[in-house]
Amino acid sequence: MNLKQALLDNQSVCLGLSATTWEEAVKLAVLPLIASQAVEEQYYDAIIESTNEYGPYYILMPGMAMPHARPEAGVNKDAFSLITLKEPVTFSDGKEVSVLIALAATSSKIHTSVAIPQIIALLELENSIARLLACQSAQDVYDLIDESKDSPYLEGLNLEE
Amino acid sequence: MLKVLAACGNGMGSSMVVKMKVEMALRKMGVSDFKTDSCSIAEAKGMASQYDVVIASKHLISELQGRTQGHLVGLDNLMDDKEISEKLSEVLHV
Repeated sequence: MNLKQALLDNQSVCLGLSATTWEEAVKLAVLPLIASQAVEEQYYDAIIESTNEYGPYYILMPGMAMPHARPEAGVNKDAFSLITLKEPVTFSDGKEVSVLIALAATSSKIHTSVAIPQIIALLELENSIARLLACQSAQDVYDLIDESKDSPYLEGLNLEE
Repeated sequence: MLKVLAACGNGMGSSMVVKMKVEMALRKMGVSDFKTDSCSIAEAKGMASQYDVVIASKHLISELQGRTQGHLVGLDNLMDDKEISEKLSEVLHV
């Protein structure tokens, strides 16, 4: 699964949204995947339950979270969304987040491996969070993904798969 | 061979990120004989004893106390190469 293709297929880039709680922010990130039928509504509930049990283990770096739950929690196909918030929300551990990339995976098998390295490559760009927050359109996001294609995390990978 | 297990809540998101970050850090530290795996925290409870190092978010690592004779490494920032390298160096004495 290719990150850009997944975002295109699910029409799941939504920018400049508003949320007052982390639960609301997670909901906003999952909504495009419910709309595209990549996930069922219960997938959102599974993420909330998992977060309440384990804490927000999916905050990858300052400003950014990658909410996800188990495939059996209502995933129909591998998919991603990417949303940005006008104002950050605070998670239960006190960390502030303005960028969320929701992940839905049907399994942990190798075919999901291209998109995860692509997310790392995207986030490794200089000032990646600020630049994502400055994006005005989905195309701006796609351009950033293209810009990260020479990352060492993508070495040897077929980005078209 | 050094065996490292990366765990997250569900085994197919942040644990894969940590796994890739650990691989990159180990190579830069000059470690070449290693094997890395990723899984959920529930799976890790049953597997941790087979690994030299288990690494996860700080939120999760306490779930694995007492499950392994190996080292437990808890991360604050899963994308921070410096944090990952420093914490791996501490337990591996590289």
